[in-house]
Amino acid sequence: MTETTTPEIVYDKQGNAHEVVDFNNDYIGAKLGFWLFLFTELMLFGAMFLVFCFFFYRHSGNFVIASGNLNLILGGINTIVLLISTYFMGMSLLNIKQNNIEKSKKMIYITIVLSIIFLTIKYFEWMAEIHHGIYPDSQALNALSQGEILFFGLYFTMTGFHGIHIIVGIGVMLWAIKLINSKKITNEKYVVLENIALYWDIVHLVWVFLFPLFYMISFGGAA
Amino acid sequence: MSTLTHDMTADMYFKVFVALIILTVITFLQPYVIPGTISDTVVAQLFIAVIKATLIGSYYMHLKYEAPLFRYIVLMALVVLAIFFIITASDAIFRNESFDLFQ
Repeated sequence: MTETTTPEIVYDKQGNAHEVVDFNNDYIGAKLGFWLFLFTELMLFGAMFLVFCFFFYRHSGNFVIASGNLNLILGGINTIVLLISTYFMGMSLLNIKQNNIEKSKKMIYITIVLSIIFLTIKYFEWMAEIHHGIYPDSQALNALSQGEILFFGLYFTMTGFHGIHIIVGIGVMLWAIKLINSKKITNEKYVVLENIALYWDIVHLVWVFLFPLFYMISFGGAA
Repeated sequence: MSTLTHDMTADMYFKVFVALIILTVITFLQPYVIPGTISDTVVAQLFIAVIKATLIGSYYMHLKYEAPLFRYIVLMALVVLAIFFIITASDAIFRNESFDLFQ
């Protein structure tokens, strides 16, 4: 099937018509499209936070008890790891703009290593819960109160979704390195890397709210 | 539209990084320094989280330097989420009250 398209026409100041053949990589368009994707990401995680807040309000006591079972130290280390990784991601973008190609690649590799550390810690955290017999629909969990069942259900769902985003992040970072090697990301054409950096910041942003709501609320019962 | 983000410097990235680390340390220390009830803790923790989110959005995601269109997208997302949260909050708080709209 052949498609017929009407050529897009632009006019210069003298009123002469020119056919548009290329938008010169369309830097703004690429970024706008990515921001619209980030909008949907905010809706995805926003909806999960909404569910969390609703049940937290209704079962706050049980949520505090359940939150006490989480490993605050592992969660805290992960918070710092992710924070450092976003710094390196930003620096890699800055370096590619300044044409420090090798340094930029090094920064992406550091970010990937930090992401793998994050996932490893997350793995041990989840395994600790699972060894205690706590995983969705387990006998030990179903024996607990409704609030605790909801807390752990949301914990596994939300940190799981967040973990999937980290895995996807590692994938796109490796892709970015491939594009840098094949000169498709350069100091003049870096919008792909810029969008990946934006994605990584959103992943961090989600954790900024996840951590206090899941880990720190355990202190609420103190007073 | 000026969306070229050449205004960013390594110095700025590092300053924001230090600010975020300090805020993270405050997050950890808050319950020990000012212990409170569950609602105090949640409010304090979310307050710090919002400051961190603003810093990340403005500098790391360079919204501060972007064209207004990009800021409007984020604003729209926040408005839509706020509507969801307000409606759901009214359900959570007033459920089974005599004037419950959802009954």
